[in-house]
Amino acid sequence: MLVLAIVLIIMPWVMPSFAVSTDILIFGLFAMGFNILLGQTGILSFGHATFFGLGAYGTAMFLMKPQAVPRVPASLGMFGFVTGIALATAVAVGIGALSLRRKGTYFSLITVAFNMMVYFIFIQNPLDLTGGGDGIIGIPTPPLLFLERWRTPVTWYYFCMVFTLVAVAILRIIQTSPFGEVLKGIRENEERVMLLGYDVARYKLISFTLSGLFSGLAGSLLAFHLNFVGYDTLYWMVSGEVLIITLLGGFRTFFGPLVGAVAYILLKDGLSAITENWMIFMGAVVMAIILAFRGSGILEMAEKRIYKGRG
Amino acid sequence: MSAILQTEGLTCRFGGLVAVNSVDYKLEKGQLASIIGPNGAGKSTFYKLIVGVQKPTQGRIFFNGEDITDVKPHKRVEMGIAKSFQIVQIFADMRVIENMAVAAQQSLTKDRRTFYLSSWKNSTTMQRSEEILKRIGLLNDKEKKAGSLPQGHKKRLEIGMALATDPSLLLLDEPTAGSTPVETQMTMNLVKELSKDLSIIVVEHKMDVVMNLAERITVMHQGRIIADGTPNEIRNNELVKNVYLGGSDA
Repeated sequence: MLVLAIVLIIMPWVMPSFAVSTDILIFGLFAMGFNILLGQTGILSFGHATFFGLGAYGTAMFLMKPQAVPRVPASLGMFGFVTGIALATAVAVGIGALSLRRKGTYFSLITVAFNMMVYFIFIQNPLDLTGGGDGIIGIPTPPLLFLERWRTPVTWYYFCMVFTLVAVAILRIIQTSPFGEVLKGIRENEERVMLLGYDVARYKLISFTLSGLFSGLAGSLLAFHLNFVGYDTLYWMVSGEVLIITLLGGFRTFFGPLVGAVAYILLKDGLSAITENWMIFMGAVVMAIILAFRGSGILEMAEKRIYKGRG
Repeated sequence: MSAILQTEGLTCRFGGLVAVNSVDYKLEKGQLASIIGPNGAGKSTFYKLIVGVQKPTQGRIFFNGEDITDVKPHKRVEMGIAKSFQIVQIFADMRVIENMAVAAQQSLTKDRRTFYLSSWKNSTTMQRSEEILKRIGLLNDKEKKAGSLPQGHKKRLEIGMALATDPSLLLLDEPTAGSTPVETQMTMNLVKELSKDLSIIVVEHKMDVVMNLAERITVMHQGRIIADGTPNEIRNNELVKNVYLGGSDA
């Protein structure tokens, strides 16, 4: 954790910009939340953009009307986090309860279906809440430590960093708890866990919900980061992106998703500056890394190298 | 009369196949019993019905006199029924000590703060895990990945995990399958020792294994119980000889 804190403090100074570093934090946190489900519990959701997007919209819809008119006084800005996380978490409970009745591919497909459903609902601008295709603009910076007055890319990055560190610390506690071990057991062998006396369905739902909660937190940060929420945060491509980030970094490791976010965001930033068809090259690079490392991901591969060096 | 386990007319149908056919079975407290039978006799299905992963078509199951037919599997474990599997079911990618810990920490689920927010390496769990590992002779392997252990070790780890749930009834499904003769002997010694404190049912395919082990043997064939008695009675039972030991349809 200490190493992570140091790395995150130094990171933006070697990155192209502070905004890119903040992107890394947000997507890293999103991927770590996603990985509670994939890496620890062994469940592949293909609809996590739902919770990321709802985190962002939950923040934005509470604070702003779509026409850049504040809905609540600026002093309530911090509550934007609460509403964002609450919306993402609540919907995660519902979707989780329904989709976890199925396993494997069926489960993944149901999560995509829900993802698309939410996407199309939000694009319709129901009750003039979501701004439809225009999204919600003008989201103010939360008034914490006078941040709204002194917001620069630098202070904003460090604000997000503190959030990320706290979230990662909580994730770490969960991962190494008895509950975390039960999740690992579910990943390895569900029936065995059940016959050791655990209510597997319940713990899968809790895992799914936690995963949605942290994805929602990342989404909420994104809303404040961009001062804007668009329907594209809910798009199914984002569900794919978080999967790629996680695989890139290594889903079997705790910090892998964060490393994946560094690689992915940097690649995206670099490639999109060169060509608008950056996705083609991104695809090639991702595929090359996954093939070269035999699906291990960057961090996992690095760890293996280090162990070999020692041995 | 204190039966720890009793079934009444227990039946399980898969379409036209009757895997378990109105079985009335009774196990006294503290007994070390065995169920044997040729392949497809319904032994494994019978186990699945008792632990609850398979729902019976008909019949009732009683545990310590309580009807558990509609109780969920994980609740049955809490009540004291534990099972080891025929095909090894362990957490292959986790270390041996972690396998044991998952099994040993079930009681922590009642204390939410400990369960979600403390380290899994808490002293209670570790102590309990290591105690059982010692008992099953795997303490030296505790840091190894469970999947890398030899077959006989895996089998014993499974029994250890079942033990860690603190059962009063232990169901073992072919505990010596795939083991070397030495390991088979070790496992049998372990079972005998455990039977001092527990009621145990051993399902076996190999008759010689249970002849020296169990005090009572039940023979299943095509879903029905065809014989029930001491090892000697079973050895001399004509019907058993016919279907099991050398019969044409065995």
